[in-house]
Amino acid sequence: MSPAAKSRSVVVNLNRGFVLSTIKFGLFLLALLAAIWILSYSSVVLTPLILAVLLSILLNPLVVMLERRGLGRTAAVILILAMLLLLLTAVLTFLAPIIAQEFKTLSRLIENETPATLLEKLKLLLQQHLPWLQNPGITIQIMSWVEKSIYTLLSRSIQLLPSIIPVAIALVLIPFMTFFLLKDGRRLKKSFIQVLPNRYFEMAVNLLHKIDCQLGSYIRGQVLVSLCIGALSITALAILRVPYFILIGSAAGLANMIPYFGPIVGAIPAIILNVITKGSLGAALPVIAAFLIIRLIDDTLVSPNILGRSLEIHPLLVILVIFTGGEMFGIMGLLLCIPVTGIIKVTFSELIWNFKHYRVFRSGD
Amino acid sequence: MKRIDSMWGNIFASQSDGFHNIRPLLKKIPLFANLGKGELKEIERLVHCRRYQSGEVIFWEGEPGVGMYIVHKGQVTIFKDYGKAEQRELACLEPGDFFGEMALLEDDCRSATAVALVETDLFGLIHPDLFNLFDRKPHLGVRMLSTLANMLARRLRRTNQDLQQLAKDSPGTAVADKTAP
Repeated sequence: MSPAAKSRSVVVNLNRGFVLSTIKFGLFLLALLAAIWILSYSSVVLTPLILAVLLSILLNPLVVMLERRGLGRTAAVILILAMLLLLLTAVLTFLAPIIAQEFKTLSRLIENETPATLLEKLKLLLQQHLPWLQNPGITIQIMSWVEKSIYTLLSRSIQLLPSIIPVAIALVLIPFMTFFLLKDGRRLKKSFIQVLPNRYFEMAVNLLHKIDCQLGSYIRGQVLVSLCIGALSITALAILRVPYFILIGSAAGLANMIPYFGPIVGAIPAIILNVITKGSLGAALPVIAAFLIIRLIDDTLVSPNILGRSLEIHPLLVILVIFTGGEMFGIMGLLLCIPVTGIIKVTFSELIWNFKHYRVFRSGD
Repeated sequence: MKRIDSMWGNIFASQSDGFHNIRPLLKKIPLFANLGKGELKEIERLVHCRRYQSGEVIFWEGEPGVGMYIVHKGQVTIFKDYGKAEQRELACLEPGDFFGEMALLEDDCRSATAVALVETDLFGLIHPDLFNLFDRKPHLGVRMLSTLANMLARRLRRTNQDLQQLAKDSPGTAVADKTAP
């Protein structure tokens, strides 16, 4: 074939290939956008999916440990999930009577005393111990703020009630999703890499590996820190004989996942309950001291050793993210906004590093 | 354009006839020659099947290396200073040959550029995947890494011999003193 004829045939092939490839690529993009759109509107699936991803990241080292001992991947995943289920059942069986008792006494307290009488009690207590509050203007201002906060909290709790059905769906979906993510996670990653153009192949492999490493250690660290803080809070509150210490201590551990606000959110219910039940403002001091000591232990011993300085998020960004997450997705948003910000931050910083080191934008290839 | 073509080529690559039955080919590679059937199956699961168009760059010199490639079909040329005036061709690889294996051992940049000479099918074996496998199957890791060490020792010995020969051919240079033991 003459060079001119050869070049014509190449051009014809390229044109046909271009049309076909563009159509296929367009369809692929459309399918991807549709999947993202459906997921973003369906929080019934999205929240369990995020939780399952976090859980699979958390459990993966345990599965690998069993694989090292000669167990197959599927068997290792089943064994780990079964052990987790057993552990949860055991913990709930042990804690259920105590928590039920705490709920019972708490409901009795609510039955006997309405929020209005509780507020009146708190008002009298404050006026008794803080003479400058005798000024009716200040007292009215403070009490209206407290009243507003309590009613907002109560209305938010009522808003949570319709979410019982999604919670039930999530309880079924999460273990299934976690099982498949743990079992087929590597295959999913490989399939994702498979569809990428060659130009991005090495960069994508590098990027996914680094995100996997950083995110895994960050999430495992966060959960471990929360467990430590929860255990410390329960112990401290039990020693101080604060009522409902298991509930409040567990909540403090969970709230610790929210930077800056978490420790305060964890401490406030303990302080208020101790003051009301013991009838003295002085009862607040040991609880405040206990939470300050726990904070000190967390800042100097727990977090530096477990989390290190691996993933630092700027305080301003933390505040913005917490308010946005809380406003958009409620309590789940508050708890998940920081890990999700962590995912986005790691992805962006690794993307920037990879774009600097790989010639993905180089023309002529 | 080439990017879109290569993407669709890769989506259907594993289904097309070119990527059937990887194991016999893996068995021919010195790095996997000592592995048993089950171990080869584990390696097979990690392999990424990639199809490159003629003239497509597989990796660039200076980029971080993430793994090695085995040529299944086609030809790959390794270049130093690719695309520059001083461009040099270092090697032309045929089916069964492999390249980029240094990336399995060190966290360094690629020392040369690899380009597909014709339409080429490659098997990519990635450093993080392989080391995850070693973490799960330490015995397999020891066997593969000792084979790799043997191969590199042989290559080093050959380089030493070449350098000594070069020193003999051009007296006055201090090359012979600088060779590795």
